[in-house]
Amino acid sequence: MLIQQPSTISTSEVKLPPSNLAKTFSPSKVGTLFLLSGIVSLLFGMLFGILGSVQYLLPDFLAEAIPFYKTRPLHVSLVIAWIFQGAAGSIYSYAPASVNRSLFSETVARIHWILFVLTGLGIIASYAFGHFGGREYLEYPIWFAIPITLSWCLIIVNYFKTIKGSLSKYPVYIWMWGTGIIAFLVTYIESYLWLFNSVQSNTVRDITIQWKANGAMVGSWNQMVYGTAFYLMERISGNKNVSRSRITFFFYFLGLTNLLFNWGHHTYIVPSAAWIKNVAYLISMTELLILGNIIWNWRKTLTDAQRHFHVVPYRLLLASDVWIFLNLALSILISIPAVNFYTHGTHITVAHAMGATIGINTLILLASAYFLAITIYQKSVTSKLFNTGYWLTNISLLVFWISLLGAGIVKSLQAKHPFSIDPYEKYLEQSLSWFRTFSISGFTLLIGLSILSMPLLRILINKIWVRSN
Amino acid sequence: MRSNNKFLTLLALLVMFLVYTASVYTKGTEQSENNPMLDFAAVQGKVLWQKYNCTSCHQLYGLGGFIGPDLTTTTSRKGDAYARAIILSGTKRMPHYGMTEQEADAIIKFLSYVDSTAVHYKY
Ligand code: HEM
Repeated sequence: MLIQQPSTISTSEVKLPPSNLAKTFSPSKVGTLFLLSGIVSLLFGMLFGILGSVQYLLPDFLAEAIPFYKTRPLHVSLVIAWIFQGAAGSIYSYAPASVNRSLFSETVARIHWILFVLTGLGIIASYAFGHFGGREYLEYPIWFAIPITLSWCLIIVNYFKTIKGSLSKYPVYIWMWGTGIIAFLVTYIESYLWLFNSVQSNTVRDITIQWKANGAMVGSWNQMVYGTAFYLMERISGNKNVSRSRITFFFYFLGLTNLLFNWGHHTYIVPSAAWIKNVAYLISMTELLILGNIIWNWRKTLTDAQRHFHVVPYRLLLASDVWIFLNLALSILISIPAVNFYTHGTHITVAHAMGATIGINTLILLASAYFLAITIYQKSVTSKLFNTGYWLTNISLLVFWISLLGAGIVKSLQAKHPFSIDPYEKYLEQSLSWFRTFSISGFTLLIGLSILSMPLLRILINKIWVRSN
Repeated sequence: MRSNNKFLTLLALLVMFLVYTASVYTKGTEQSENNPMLDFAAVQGKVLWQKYNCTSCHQLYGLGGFIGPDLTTTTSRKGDAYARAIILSGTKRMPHYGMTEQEADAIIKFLSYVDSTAVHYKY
């Protein structure tokens, strides 16, 4: 059975699809390209994740060819590249139509994509040959930062030239995309301040700034991804009020406040100024609670017809909402300084990171890619296949997440303080069953996300291929 | 939300952020008895720490990968000789990088320096 596709979607306040969006909507080809290359990055990234998880169990596994110090950066860089490409793809696809214009420059956008992909390939090659810059999360040699920064400037110019005009009347997602792409540039540049001697030769300062930059960088991509979620909600419901309401703008500013100031909860154990940590603790995580509520309430406003017509992106958004609440509970718990003292640096932090990047960011971005494929490009996907991928992904992710929490709890219980787990090998052995579960559920998660990705690859490749011929 | 209010809120956040950032960059992490500056040998060690991508498996102050232990206080807890032996010969999980003695010494200098800043965790 094929999932029924809407021939059109409603843009009126009256929640009665269909309307004629698809006919009037001509998304930028670069948006499709970014989503496509993003999905490819995700699939390869997960392969390296599996490899890394197997190396937890079998330290000798491919230890010569591709040791853990290569698999981890390959995994993390590729999956983060997916989030950036998914977000950029969504912005290129939807921003112009949101302001009733076409993209300022398709050529500049193409140069952005080419630079991004070439830099990505260069980074993969340098990891493979063992050349590192060795900074956490940005482990590539530093000169790759130049094309990354340049390519990001291109999207900034293109975006603001496209939406130029009266920003104040625009819906919240236009604001979120805008602040997200600027915040990334700022935080990215900030993450290279260690090149200055006053940071380089002062490790406490260096680590504090690194956490500041990395924490805010996560906030910057969240702005882009949550902006996309708001866009989808508006398009699915046809209700323009959600993305213009006071509560939504309140959420936007709260999110921005979190982006700018909440990173300090990563530094409870760093001997830096106490007030930074107190500020962070006060505002931490309020953002997720509000986003969770907005999606939850939005769900109630949909008619049966809207749910039916947009079943695929709708269900992915709902699943992301469940993950928002699960991560929120965890985040609130580990933001309590006394708890954080023992959980920081354990796999609870990894659960927090992967729970959010997979459960929230990835599911929203997949909803975006499906919206493009089904609603805009009018292509069908098989519902049985989608259901299988959807459930396999969510159930695997739940087991995956719990297993990381399990390993983290074992470590937290052994710690006298965050830096003393002795002997470490004993801790790893005691957590073996958790790591085994982590690896197996990681494998089924890979299958689940691959099943969800395959129809997208087919449709997006087809679209690019057909349009260029 | 009125449009003027939106811009004012954005501006207020921006100003707060700039003040806050300037303060984070300079205050609370100044050089002191508990937070000395890295000397030349320790900087060499830090460069090697990055070159060998030690951060993919180890953390300093909780920042880094998780398959290996946090090394913030490793030199005071385990001693330099122990650390040197592991760095030079590897373990079941840790690769044998084939580092020179000088390289191992520089990394230990760097780790000892980090250790000296972790004053709250000595017990
Ligand atoms: C196929 C399933 C996956 C497996 C088996 C897997 C495995 C791993 C492993 C082994 C690590 C390194 C943990 C360490 O430092 O010791 C890791 C880290 C990470 N993974 Fe995954 N992963 C998977 C999927 C994903 C996906 C789909 C995303 C995001 C879209 C993701 C995001 C991350 C992030 C952000 C980190 C860094 C965590 C941190 O340092 O706190 N992973 N993963």
